[in-house]
Amino acid sequence: MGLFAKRPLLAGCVVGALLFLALLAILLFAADLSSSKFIYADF
Amino acid sequence: MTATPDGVDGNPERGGPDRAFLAGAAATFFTLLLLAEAAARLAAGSGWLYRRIDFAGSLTSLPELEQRIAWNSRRPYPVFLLGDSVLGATALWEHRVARPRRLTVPARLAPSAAAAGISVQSLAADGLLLPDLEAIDRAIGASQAKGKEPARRVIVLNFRMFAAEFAAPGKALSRDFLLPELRAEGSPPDPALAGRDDALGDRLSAGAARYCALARTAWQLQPLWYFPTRRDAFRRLLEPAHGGPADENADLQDAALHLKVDPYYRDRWDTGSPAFHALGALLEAARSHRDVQTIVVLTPQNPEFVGDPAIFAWNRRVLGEFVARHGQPGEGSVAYRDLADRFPAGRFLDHCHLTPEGNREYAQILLALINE
Repeated sequence: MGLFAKRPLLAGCVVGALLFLALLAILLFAADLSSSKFIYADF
Repeated sequence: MTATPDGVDGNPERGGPDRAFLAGAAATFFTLLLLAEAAARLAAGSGWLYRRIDFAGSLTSLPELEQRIAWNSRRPYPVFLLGDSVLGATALWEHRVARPRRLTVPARLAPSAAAAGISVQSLAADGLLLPDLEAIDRAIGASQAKGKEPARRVIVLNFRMFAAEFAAPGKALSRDFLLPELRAEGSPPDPALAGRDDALGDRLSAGAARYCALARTAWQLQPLWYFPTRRDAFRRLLEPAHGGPADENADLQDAALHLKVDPYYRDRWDTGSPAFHALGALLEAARSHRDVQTIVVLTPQNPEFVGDPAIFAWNRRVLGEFVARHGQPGEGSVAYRDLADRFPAGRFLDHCHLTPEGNREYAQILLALINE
């Protein structure tokens, strides 16, 4: 709360960066490749 | 108490700190997003990504495929490898071979080919079937139509691709995202390929892959840590706690493999199947590509898995005759090599995937064919 009260713009930048990192992590590690129905058992 | 004047004209600004916070968050988020998008476009478009990371064996979206084709088409004397897991690292990974990506057929072939001035790019992926290969070939053709240098294709066929189970509706194409490529030229695809629900998730995924290089690149990178699939990667992580496959009954594994692959060799092939239909279309396209050579190879099979020798020989003969009939010289040329009985059983990990040494020898054979 301290940073938000004293420097709201900087706090916003930090939160924006964290949101971006969260999006990147979802894309890299969690997003489902639903375009493929291939499963390993078929190989 | 009066409000602190924080507006440019000295008046109090409505919103105050909240507004500054939101502005900072939005500006930072979208700036980073734009920078990452630009970096992803640059990395893929310049080929930086493909020179440093080997994506052989995985295929995540049609735009990613087109990107790889465009990149290799710009290189000298491009050659594209089309095939299934025989050209990938999954079987090596499953058999606990160290550094499997460096021991695949394309990985062995590319350096020797580069020394001869040939740029090899593998577009093979696990589980691909012949309609998939037809779609990939059309994507290569579209790249050529845009004025790129004519590219050679090496099409590696596997017995699995002609199995009756993959002629069933909805099973003839392994990657749904390739279907638009088969519809692109206006001709309706085989009924076995159509009639599939186009889920909202698939459309969103396809749209993101088409218009967002960051999403495309991120999905492309996923197989580097979730290999070959996320489920297998997690299973491998859990093995130390539950005991690995070494603890399991080898006979049971062997029986399970036979149960899975024996049907691939059991039946006589039907030349009216979607697989042969796609192969016919591939060969017709190969004939019409001016100054382009297409090499069709029937990949080696483990002699211990081929079942009835008479059916094995009959199927090979049918395929040879089919390729000869549909691949007669036109403006382009088609060469066919049947390598089904080329290697002894000791060179195989299972029914069709080769050991690292087998891959090395297979790469030498393919390079000789390309150089012919």
